[in-house]
Amino acid sequence: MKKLAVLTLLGAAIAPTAWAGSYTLDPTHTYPHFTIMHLGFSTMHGRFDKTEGSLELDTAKKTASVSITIDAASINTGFIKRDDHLRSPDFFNVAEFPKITYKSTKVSFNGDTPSQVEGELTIMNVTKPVTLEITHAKCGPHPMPQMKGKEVCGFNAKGAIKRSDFGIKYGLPAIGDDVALEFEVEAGKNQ
Amino acid sequence: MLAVLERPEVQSAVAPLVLSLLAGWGLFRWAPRYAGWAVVLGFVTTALLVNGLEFVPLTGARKIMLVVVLAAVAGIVLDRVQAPGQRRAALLGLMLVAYFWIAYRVLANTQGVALGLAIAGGVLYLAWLVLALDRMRENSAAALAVSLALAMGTSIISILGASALLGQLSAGLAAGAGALWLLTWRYSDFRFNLDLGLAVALGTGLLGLGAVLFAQLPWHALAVLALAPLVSLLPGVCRLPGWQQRVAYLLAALIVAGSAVAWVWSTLEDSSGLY
Repeated sequence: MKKLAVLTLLGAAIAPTAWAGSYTLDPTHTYPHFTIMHLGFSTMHGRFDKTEGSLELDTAKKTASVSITIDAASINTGFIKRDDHLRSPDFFNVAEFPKITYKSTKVSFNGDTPSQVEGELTIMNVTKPVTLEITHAKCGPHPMPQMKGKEVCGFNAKGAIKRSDFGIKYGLPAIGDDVALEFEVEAGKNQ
Repeated sequence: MLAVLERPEVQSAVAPLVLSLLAGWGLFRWAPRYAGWAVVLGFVTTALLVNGLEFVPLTGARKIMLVVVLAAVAGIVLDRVQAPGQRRAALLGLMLVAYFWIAYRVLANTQGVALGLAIAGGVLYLAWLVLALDRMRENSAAALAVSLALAMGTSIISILGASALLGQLSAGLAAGAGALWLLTWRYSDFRFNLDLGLAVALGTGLLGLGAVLFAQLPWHALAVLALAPLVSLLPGVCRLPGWQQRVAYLLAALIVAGSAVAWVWSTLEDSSGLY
């Protein structure tokens, strides 16, 4: 009997768990990264430092939605002069268009795991469909003691856009048109 | 051929200068009243080469492109208004509509002292340029020289203020004004009309303000540039022969514009480094 109870507990611990609820994106672990070809010489990396958003997830029902708002002025490529230029009307025009948003329209699942997000990306008031492939997903209790086992879901996702589709054409074709996107996202379940 | 047209110096200097020279020559011969439109053509050439005919999203810079052309059209009408009070009221009304149309998105996201400065500074700067160029219509040599210096100065300080787009557009105005200035050596009976005055005042004014509001240009650059119209008050110059007037006014106006550029340059945190 004792052995059966241990086996039951062990089974419950390793069995797939359904995750469901509303989550708030953790801005300290949610960053949209981008890479772009620079003059044909090298691939430049950058990211946006400030994001906020929410996630709705129900792995049992295979439903999910995500909404991310990015502070366009928080662009960071590691060089202030270049970042100032990227904020100017030549590129993101952040004074006029301070927010970049991504809202999902459909999330596909592979088993219990979200695998693809179809959504709409809005930059400078231009909205285009963008599909993100989820390359990693994990939900579980946060391991750090001070988080008191808070339920957290994390994802890595990749996508690609052409910046010219959003009206950002400065420096074409010397500065690449193809922009690779990579999101790192963590979201804590709302209490 | 297309690759050549993608070069910034062709888009904002060579192409508008050549086309403005050709258009200005034709206008001086067959429609001298509209010779000032050679400058507008220079601006439109640069705008088309840099931006094409795309106006979505309708950014502030794209609105400025439309405003310059509309201002030139409005200037033709307002040039015929004889009552100075009515004309100035109409000019200021147009200026206010243009400024708030272009700046409202930024103003909506600005608060406190910065908002007050953006509204008061923007309105004062534009009003000063519009009224100064209206007043200078009686002194065409000074008005054209000031227009050229304002456009050149705005172009360089905009680029230093981290917006090549705004700088290029202003360079298109400068190329057009430079072409017209060269043509006045052949056609000395040039008259500076309000269509050119309003297009230049709103064009250079809004591009300079755009570099402040949309990019990183400090306000003090515009404060210095705003002194350019005062060169029309230089004593004795208006009594000089025609070519000496043109040179004297231009040199004086370029000194003012150069001072604005030098001040901006000196306050840049780091002028070195390509990226």
